[in-house]
Amino acid sequence: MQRNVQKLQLWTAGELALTGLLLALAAWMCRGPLLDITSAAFNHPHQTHILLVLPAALLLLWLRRKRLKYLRFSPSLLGPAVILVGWLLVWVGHEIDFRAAYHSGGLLVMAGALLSVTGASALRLFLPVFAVFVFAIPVPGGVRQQIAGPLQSIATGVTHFLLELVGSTATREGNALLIEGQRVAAGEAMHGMRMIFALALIAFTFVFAIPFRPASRIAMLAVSPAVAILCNVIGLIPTSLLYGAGMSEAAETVYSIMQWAMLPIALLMLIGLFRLMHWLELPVTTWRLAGSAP
Amino acid sequence: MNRVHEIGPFLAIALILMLPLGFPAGSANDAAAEVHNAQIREAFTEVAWQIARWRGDVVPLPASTDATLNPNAILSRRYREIGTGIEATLVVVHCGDARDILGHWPPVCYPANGFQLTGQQALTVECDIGLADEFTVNRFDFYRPREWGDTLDVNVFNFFVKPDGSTTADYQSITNLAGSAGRSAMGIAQVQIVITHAMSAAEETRTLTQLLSGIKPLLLRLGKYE
Repeated sequence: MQRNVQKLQLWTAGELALTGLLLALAAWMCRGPLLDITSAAFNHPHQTHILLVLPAALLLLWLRRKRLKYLRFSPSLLGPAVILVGWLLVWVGHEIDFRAAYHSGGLLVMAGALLSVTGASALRLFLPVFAVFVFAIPVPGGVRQQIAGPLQSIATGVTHFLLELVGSTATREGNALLIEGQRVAAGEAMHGMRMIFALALIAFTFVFAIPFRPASRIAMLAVSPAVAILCNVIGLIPTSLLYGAGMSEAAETVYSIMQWAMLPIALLMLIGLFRLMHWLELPVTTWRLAGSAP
Repeated sequence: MNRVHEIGPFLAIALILMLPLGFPAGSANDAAAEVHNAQIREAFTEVAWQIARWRGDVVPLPASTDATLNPNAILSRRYREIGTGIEATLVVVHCGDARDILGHWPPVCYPANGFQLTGQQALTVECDIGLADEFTVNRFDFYRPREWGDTLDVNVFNFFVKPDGSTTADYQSITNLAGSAGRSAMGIAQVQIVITHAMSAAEETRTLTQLLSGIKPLLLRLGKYE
């Protein structure tokens, strides 16, 4: 018992204080990018998924909490190297106004501060926790525009189809619909881009919350965009019916609610897919679940 | 080997303290930009409801812009000239981040709303808008088939106001704005005048010059980044 207690006391107060000091200094050094990320998360309607990154990281850390005892104070030059690369990214990103570099550099500096006291072992033990912070990088406007166009077209097409299915006369004009004489910018109102990155984050967290085999992880991540589009289509069903009934404002409100409601539904879909793969006895996990077929 | 690594945390502290001195990178979201954006929002509220003989009322954006635009301030008013009944919609959109306006201009937004582009030309407008006495605007001609067989014809006049006080009708120059430190954080504004019924060239010119002269204080504010 005494030996076990001694094994767990791997970090001295001085080492913890040094770690805290490093993280605090790194946060102060990168306050520009970090505040920019926070501002985007709270103020930009298409970056709200960033708010989910910290809970996702904490969940992934909690699931790996037993590994914490293997995380020792192990000074390393890897940390300063990562800090150097990270800050150069911040600087270049600022100089040429390349915000993705500016933001990712800030996150790298924070990671570098931690790696300075843990070495590469933190990466080996908690790689998904580090990786999930990729979702904290605000999606560049150009990427958003590239994604928004096809999503608007899909949303308009699906809404048009659903309205015709229920017998409502709707005419499609580009990404807008003419319903009962009223023009509705269905594509713009319901392209669902706000949720695309949130759903991708949930898919990422899910596949690293379960001990999937690497191939299974890749397969699950590959189907996640289809899950996101399917979720948006589900959200479009009640919305389209309300548009068809001439209740445009109610339709947009319901759609906003449906977007958030789609997050747990997407998770359930991924769990369902996992269950299906497991039922088919595909080797999806690194170990067999209790109660599974021998 | 391990002894070399032991200096890691201390080297990290040294880098954290020294790198910002050698390679400074201030926040793009600095206080100056926030003040500028607040001043612009205020200037939007001060645009006159009556400009010369034109009386305005609020209308939805002609080709509505979704949240990807992330505007700092938007003005969308239909002005009707007393006496003639001529109408024109004045739209001014300011984005605090210049990159947010990329992809949001008539050749993109109108086709996405069912319009077809039939013509495009650059026009020189002679009018004192505070920033210039003579400037270039784009004229886009669109039409959209309507249910009952006829078409809705729309003429959109558009130009951009840069934070350095210049105006441009060249979309490419807007994309180049996001190319150096903090420039995109100075924002960008787009001005549109939308006309949905037939007008003579003289009436179009009069509409443009009178409405743009009427928002001179706003245009000056848009082009004045301190």
